[in-house]
Amino acid sequence: MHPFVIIKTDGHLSNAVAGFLKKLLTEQIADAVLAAAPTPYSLLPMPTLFTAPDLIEKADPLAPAAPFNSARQAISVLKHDTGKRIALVLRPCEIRALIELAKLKQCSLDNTLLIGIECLGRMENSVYLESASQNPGLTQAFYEDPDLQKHICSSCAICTRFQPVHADISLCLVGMPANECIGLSAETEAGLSVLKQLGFETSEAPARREDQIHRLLDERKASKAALLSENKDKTDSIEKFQRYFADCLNCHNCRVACPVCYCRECVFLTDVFAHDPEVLLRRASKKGMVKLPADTTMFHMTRMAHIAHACVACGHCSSVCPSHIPVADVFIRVAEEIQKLYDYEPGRDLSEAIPLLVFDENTGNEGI
Amino acid sequence: MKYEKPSIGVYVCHCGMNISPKVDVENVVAFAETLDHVTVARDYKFMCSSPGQEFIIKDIREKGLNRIIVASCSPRMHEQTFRKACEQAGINPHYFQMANIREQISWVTKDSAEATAKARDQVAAAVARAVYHAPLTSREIKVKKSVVVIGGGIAGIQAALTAAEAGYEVHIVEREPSIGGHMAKFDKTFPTLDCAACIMTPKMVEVAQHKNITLHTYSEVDSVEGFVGNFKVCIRHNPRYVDASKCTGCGICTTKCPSKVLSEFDQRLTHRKTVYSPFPQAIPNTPVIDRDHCIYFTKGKCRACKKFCEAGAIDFNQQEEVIEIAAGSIIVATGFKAFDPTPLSQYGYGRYPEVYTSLEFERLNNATGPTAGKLLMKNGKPPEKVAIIHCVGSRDSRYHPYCSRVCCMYSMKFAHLVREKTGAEVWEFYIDIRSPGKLYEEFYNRIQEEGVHMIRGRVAEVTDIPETKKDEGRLTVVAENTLTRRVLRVPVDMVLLGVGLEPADGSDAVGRMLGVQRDADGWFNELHAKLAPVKTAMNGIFLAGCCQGPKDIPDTVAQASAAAGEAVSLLAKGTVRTLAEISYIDPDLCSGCKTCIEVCPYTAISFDESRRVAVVNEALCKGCGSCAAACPSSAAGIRHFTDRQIMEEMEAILL
Repeated sequence: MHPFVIIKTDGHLSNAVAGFLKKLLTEQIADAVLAAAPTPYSLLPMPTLFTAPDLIEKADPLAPAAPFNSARQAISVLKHDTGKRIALVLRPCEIRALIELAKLKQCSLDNTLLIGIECLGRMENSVYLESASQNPGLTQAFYEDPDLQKHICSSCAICTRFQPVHADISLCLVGMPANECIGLSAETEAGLSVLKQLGFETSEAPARREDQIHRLLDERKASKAALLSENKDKTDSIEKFQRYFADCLNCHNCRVACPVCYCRECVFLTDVFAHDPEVLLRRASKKGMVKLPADTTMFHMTRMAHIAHACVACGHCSSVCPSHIPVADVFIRVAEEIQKLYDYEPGRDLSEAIPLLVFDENTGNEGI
Repeated sequence: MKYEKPSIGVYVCHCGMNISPKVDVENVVAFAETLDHVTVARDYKFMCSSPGQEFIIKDIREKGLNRIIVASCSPRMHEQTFRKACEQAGINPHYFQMANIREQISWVTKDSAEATAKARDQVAAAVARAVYHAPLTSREIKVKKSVVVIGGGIAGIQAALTAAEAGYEVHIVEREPSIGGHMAKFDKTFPTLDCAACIMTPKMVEVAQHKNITLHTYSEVDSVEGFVGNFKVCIRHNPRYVDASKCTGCGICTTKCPSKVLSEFDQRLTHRKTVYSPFPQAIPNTPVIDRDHCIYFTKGKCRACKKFCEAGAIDFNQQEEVIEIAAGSIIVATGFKAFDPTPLSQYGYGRYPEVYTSLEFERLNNATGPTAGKLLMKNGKPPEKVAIIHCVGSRDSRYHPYCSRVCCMYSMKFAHLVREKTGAEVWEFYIDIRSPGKLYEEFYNRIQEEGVHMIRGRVAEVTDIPETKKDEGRLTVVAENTLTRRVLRVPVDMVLLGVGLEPADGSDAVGRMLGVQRDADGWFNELHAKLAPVKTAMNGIFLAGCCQGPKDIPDTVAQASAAAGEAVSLLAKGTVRTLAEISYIDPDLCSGCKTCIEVCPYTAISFDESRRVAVVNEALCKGCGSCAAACPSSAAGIRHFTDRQIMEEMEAILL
């Protein structure tokens, strides 16, 4: 078991977390902390880079909302080693994406402290904004009231990887009554040394945690199996796939929201898909008509081919779709099959090679 | 990208009776005329003939065509022909596109209507892609006028001498203390039975004395970088602990050395000293000290060799040294390894002292071998009856499925030598006799006339349990004579195993270092089994001898001369052209993920740390397309096989 620290919340979960983050700055453990915080203009928590200890009190990384997967924002400050140590408070899916981006040389994790949130899910932005405007204590209420937790988005509701992997320190919430306490678990040597530096006494995690984690995992597994099997019926042929994405507007929001779509410029914005009118006319003349925009099915297929091995199941592609296509469901389903095929799990281990880069003579013999 | 308004000419070939009548050529021509941008469409009996090419040249000049499609055979046959015609007419050769309607259609489609429909699709695809063709050029790069030969057996020696005679600087790298390889161990060579040493040593001496050849023995190739014409080969000289510049080769060190180990050269049938030359005619004749067994190196005392060396050549402090050679081409001549028959326990090798491998027999029979060339058993007596077993480790699905090609002939040579030297009775057990060489069948007839018993049957067992008491102490060979369908039990004094050939130790590492692929059996792959037998897929790297597959001395020498010929032809030209159809990486699109670098089999992509983008070395790239397939943003692409061109091609076929 990892060394565990229990912090009292006294009914103020967000303050307790912000207090811990503040110490990272005042004790000079980190030069900067990236954590979600509401902005002066909106309640929606945005990833915010804090360097001033008094301002970090505004941070609320446990707020049950995430406008996007913050891995992309994280890499903007981790592009190369600046000599500064940066602590990042991220959800498990965000850490997974960050690890994948590090494998793709999009960032360096050499001088970071990763603080993972044991994530009970996020609400869709609109749901969160409405709830938060009516309930100023929404964060606290969310972790105390299981009914509120039912309002999380559909991808979170089937998430089985809600515990951070690869974090130095985990913020533990399951089995921890939010009005009383929160847990800090040291997952690495670096994490343990930080907790010791901050003067925390380590103990063992409360026994009830294991039980509750298992119960939650079982629930999530069941929901996931049901959703994915339902999805398979809707998407397991090219015709069905086309129907599934029929309402696609080609806005590419899903691609922008996807944390592991890392290309500087998407191939779908290049000349390759900038068809000459002759091509479109030729397409039309074959069947007498052609729907525009063209290539929408091709776009989703290509994106799937590019990222299925790396999909971290964060669900943001669904959240941003203006046509309300459950993009994530089919991506998560296919990704799971592909990842199983290659015995690959995105974000599991920084040293695990991307399947495309592994040459194995037997690959392809097992069949899908 | 369109560079000018396309004006396309389509030429459909009948290929005599090969394409038409299966494909309705007139129908395809009529269809081609309806396609976008097609200005002219024609058919002709043989497009590759001079009149056929003239049509194209004339139309380009008179009608201002700027794209040419020929629907005919495989581009491997005539792409170059038509590209040249385009060039001659004044348009870029890459504005040409071939549609293969012969190998891919007329030869493999039964139904004529189906074949015609498919040919239309192929033509439509070629037209669609040609619209997006770009004019491509290649660069000329100067080549270094030198050759590195890896391996100093007969293949390496022959290749080196041929190239050196042509006036080029040659470096031979040999990991053993002397050049000579396996052939130096042989006594006689089939089918003419000339003495191996008599024909080999003059060549070895010639190598040593040739002004254009530098020998690197007791050395290995550490790394190879660069590309055709401009290889950078790092050679590691392992320390001999004998200074070659001082050593006179007098041999006093060997005489005085008190320590002995089994001789690798003599197949461990006798001993050598720890400071030694492997054999009397070794080139160079500078000995080496076997560090692992030397008393001074292992125990810190002795130095007998140093004490007696008047030239002061012994240098215990010698260090390994790595030198760098610039080479225009590389010849791989790393040879083979004899199959170790120990796993075939039914033949008793290693259990019965009188069971020998072929290489052991070569030494036993050799004037410089352990018995000074007398054929004697371990008890000092000559054998009265000898069995020779063919195909040991070859033509055997448990070991090597292939025929090792030399075993039949050397086994029959052994039979002859045994008969000649001892008069002993010889029994040969074979599956089939393979003697397809000049004077080989005649040799087979000759040994039959010499009274050798030829038994067609794979030996089941060699045992020391005799059938009758009188044969106690002898070995018994059990086999079925498949011609008479009788099981034979033949008591013999000596058994010779005709072991097969397998790739030399370390050839996997050599292959990886050079980027030369190996086949399923581990032999290096030639570029084309028939038409490019000494080239490899790596430009400027050639194959000689058994590293490419089992072969005998005549074939090895022929192939080595061919490899040297290819190498020299490359160097004589003085320049190489880079390929035009290679990868390019758009720095504005590159995300710097390095995926392409990892998948490139030719190490042709490097990373520019300052711009954080991947960069292609045009001379190294072979245009295989791995990078283009792996790059998600299409920053990496292959010229002439751009995403756009391929998409248009597919669309024309699918829609």
